[in-house]
Amino acid sequence: MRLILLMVLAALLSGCGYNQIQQKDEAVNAGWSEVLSQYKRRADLVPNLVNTVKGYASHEQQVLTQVTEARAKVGQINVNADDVASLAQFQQAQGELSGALSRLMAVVESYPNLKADQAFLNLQTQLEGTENRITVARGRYIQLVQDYNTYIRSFPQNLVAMMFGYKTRPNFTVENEAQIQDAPTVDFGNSAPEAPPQPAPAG
Amino acid sequence: MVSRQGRRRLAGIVDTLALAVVLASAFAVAPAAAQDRATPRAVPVLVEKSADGGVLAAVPPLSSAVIDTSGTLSGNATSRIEARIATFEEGTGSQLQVLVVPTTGDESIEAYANRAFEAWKLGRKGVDDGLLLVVAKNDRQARIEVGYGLEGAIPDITAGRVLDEYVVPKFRDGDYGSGIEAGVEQLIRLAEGEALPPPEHGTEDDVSGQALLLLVLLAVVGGMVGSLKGVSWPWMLGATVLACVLVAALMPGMFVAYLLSMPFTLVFFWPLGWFLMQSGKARWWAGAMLALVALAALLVQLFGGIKVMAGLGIVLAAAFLCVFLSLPVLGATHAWKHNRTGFWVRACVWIAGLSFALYAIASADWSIDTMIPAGMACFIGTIVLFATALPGGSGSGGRSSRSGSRSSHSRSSRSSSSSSRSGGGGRSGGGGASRSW
Repeated sequence: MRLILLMVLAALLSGCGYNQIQQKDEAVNAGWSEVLSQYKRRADLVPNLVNTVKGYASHEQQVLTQVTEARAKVGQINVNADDVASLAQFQQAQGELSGALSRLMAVVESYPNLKADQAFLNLQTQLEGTENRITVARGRYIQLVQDYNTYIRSFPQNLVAMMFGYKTRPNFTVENEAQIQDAPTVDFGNSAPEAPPQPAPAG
Repeated sequence: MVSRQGRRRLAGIVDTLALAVVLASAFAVAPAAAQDRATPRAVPVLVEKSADGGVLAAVPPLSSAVIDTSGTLSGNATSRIEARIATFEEGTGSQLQVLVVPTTGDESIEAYANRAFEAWKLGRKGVDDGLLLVVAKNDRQARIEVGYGLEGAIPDITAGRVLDEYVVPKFRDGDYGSGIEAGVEQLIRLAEGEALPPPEHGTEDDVSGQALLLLVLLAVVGGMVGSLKGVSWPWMLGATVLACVLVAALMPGMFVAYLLSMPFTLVFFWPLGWFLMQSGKARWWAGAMLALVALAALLVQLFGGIKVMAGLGIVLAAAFLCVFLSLPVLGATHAWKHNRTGFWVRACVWIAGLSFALYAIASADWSIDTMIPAGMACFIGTIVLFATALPGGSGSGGRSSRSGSRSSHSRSSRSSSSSSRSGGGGRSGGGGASRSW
């Protein structure tokens, strides 16, 4: 009798996993802060970059305006990592900034003086480093969210999660990214390059 | 006035509750111990195909400070660079790694370098002062990956400059050895400029520990000799004090510290030695302990501290296992003789528990994260299950399972690395710079 009671107690206590849910939840939060800080780091590099490029390529108004606007849009967004729509909107805005930056880099290729400028080279190194940091932070965040979601949905933790109101968290998606980040072919023959399709802002 | 029957029942209930608390804490502790590692699953070290079918280059095991799978560097250059890195690592405690591969396959050198850094965990945990220089020879790409802690001394621009000014020019001439040497030298200079926490000097700690042990032994032996008939104990005490002062003088820089610790060691251990001689049995025990300590000191000098500690650890763990497993064996034999039905019930529960644990491990792909708590649960469950069959109730079972969980907890959280080089647990955020030539 005593033994059966013990076994039941042990099974219940081992199966709850409440502590683990807390740990994984906090890990996801930490991963999200890391992602946000790396994105902010990139956004902080953009004004310097735009000014440096303007010094050499002031006629490339369209591309420079696109970059500045994309950055302003990113700065205005207040993202909530638990809301699917909010996260999708944030991802789209960051994707637009990435696209605008890659277009800017494509344009810079035709200005050899600019490419040799030490300030620009430094900014380019910093930008590449920041993009890599973003990739690493996103990769880690995606893994953390997967880990958390899988844990919350497995038995018997899902019972505890349901009891305490823990839901699965949204994750970064890859599909719309590829669409936005398409670097268009730069045609040097045309005077006005074709404007890339602007994705309608969500909600 | 509680009757004898009632008291026994009460004791039984208290026993049960105590066991339940012990089991619960064991189950709560085990996942926490397993979770001491990073929460997401560790990146596999050797991988040939990525998820989308691309070919990834394998990350070689961390065998030395310079790993060259492309055969570019000569033996001389390799040993020179390794020696330079060794001096740097001992001086600062950071970790610098050079990796030369023929190609990084389908992935970019940034992704490969980050994967290698994650797998090896370069740099000290918490300080994250690791550096990785990756050269993909056939791809003509080089990258410096900087750990979190060194991003102040070596920001991206500086890493780019090291590559631009010291490494790539030599690579363009085809001289890989001197390019890597120059890059390593620059990285070391930059990293040494950074105010990092000082390294743990293992050798100093060993010697100071041995000196302390020597002081204690001197006090004990002094006490023992001083208690002998025909020996004047004030003279013996004086001789012991003199010997301790001499030992303290052998430790440069720590002389005052050891002098200050002398009164304590003398007050505690000199009378201990004295009283140990008073009874015959204590005399035998003291002699045996002294012989053991002398043997251990000899072994440490011969084989090095770590191997002896590891050996001792294994022997002690095996002894613990035998002692704790003898309890369920005794319980099982006792139940077999006196309580056959109880034996069968327990056997069925044990088999069911084992199969459930095996199923849990198998369904989690035999990962170490589930094996440790499941293994501990089986171990504790076995002891508890059969120890309760012993006469005298579960009081002894509770005690043994409590210390069983403690010893297996410390066993699970101790990491074992048999290779001479191992990462310190540091992390990198993807900082650094890449260049191609």
